[in-house]
Amino acid sequence: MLNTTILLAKTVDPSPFERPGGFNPQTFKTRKSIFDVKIDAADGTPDLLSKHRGKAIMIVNTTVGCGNANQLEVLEWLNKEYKDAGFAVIGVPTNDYCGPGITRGKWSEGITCGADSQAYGLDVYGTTFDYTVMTHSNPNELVSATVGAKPGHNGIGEPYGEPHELWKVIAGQANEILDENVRNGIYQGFADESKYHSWWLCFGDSLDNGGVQAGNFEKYLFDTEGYLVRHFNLQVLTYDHEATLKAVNIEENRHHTMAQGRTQKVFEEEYAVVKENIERVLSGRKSPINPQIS
Amino acid sequence: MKSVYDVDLKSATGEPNFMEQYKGKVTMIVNTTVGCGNANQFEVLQWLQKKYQDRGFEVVAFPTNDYCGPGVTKGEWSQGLVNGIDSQNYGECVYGTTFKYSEKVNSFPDREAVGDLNGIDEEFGETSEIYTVVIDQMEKVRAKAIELGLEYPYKDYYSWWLCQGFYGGTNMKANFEKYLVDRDGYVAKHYSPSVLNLDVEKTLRDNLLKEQGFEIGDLGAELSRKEHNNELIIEEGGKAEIAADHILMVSHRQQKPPGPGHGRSYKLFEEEFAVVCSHIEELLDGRKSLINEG
Repeated sequence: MLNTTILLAKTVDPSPFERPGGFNPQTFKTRKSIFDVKIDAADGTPDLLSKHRGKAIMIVNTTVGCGNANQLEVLEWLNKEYKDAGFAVIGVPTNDYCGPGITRGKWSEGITCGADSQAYGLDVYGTTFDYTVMTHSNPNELVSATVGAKPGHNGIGEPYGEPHELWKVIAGQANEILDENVRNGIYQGFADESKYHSWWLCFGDSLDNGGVQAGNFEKYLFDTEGYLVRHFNLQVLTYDHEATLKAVNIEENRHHTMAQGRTQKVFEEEYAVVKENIERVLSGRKSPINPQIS
Repeated sequence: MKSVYDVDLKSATGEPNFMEQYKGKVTMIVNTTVGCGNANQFEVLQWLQKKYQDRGFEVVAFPTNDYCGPGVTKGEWSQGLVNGIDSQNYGECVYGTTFKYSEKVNSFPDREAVGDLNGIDEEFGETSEIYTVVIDQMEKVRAKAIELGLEYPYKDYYSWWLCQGFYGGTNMKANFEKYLVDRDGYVAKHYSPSVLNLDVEKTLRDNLLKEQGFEIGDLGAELSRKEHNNELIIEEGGKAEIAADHILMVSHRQQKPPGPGHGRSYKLFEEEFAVVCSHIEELLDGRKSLINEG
């Protein structure tokens, strides 16, 4: 038997790679607000984030397809429920992770621009939230191996590009939060370990607060000044198979189940926790690095 | 149909008629070895043994080399097992078990999951009678459960492993397949190898900690953990030491910690423990296996 515990305990040897531009997401620090990051919308509208200034924002990296893609549906529920209260989901497309290989039919081609991811979200899951242009992100050291690419290469075999400033700011803010927590004696990694049934809520909220990404659908919740409040692991909110794949599976009479460890009740718990966090931000909760409180 | 308690077998220490003593009792039949990634279940099984032994419940261990084993364990316990007594010594020394062990047996491995060779790279031996009887009963239980509509889907649990139901186990995938047997010797329920997993195998965990330069006793101080997160009290005397896993995650900044295993959390464990307890209590109160016509 392959025992996950033990495989992981044997300390995976990450294949090191030079990040383009020499960027180091483990050491870079910044207290820049995401509302001050210039990034255009997928449809060409300039400076998308500043358009949302003052809102609670959930940034999520997306693509076409992906095993976690049903989260687009869940994210749309959240977007709909809270948009009038000042919340917005923003999809940030990238090719850095697994992607088109999973999807069936006309969406099996991958993406060449942010608009492709947006079109997929709209067509398959009816998303109405905004998407940015295509970006390079901060994949962690293990991603290349998991998508079967050379170290430092993405899911379609291309070398990683220099991370977009948005991803640099997320890493920089995450590192600032770690420092701030250490100063305040808060040990982030243990905060939730025995609070939830969901492993992804207990342990998946990685210690570096998600400054690097392990796959699509890493979710980052920001306060209304654009400072990181909470990272949710990429599996959090996954509750079903990608829609086009599921349709083919059903058509071909193939059995499919939720991924190991994931159940309806675990999803419901996660959904409630994410909602609770959004509501807290909407009612004024600030990031520990928000200049208003630190 | 032959009762499990009528199977002729020796104890780990060589006494004949091992199963005789369990007539009239509720038992949990578990395949064990030396070490294994699931070995912390020895501790949990001992909690069950202690909790219910006065009411007529016994855990019964069946040592086998069929699955992963010694490779996982460190130090003096890295040799694997020659006889049943080796598993017994390991259980008693590392986890303080007081329940009984049989002589070494061959189980009923699922070749698709396990491969062509056993846990010490030898050919599988012929299935011992104990598992011929258990598996034959389990197949009948499963058929009956399907007939009665008790099989899939389960959506009532947070634990994915519980949601797989209690009537699988018709072939074995790893150490710690658990079969709950009624007072007449008929299998009533099955729990998969991961159910009741709480922690990393103890000798491995201690070893990993040493490699990281931590003194085992200093964990609490090193981590300045908050009091309410510090302990998971299962019941008197049952304290889960869980800090070690996180140290690895801290030092390697990995996204997936070794811990209770991928997808597994302490609250899931608590749910599983409660469900298993309720099933044991039902059988102690006189409920019978679906295939027990008596």
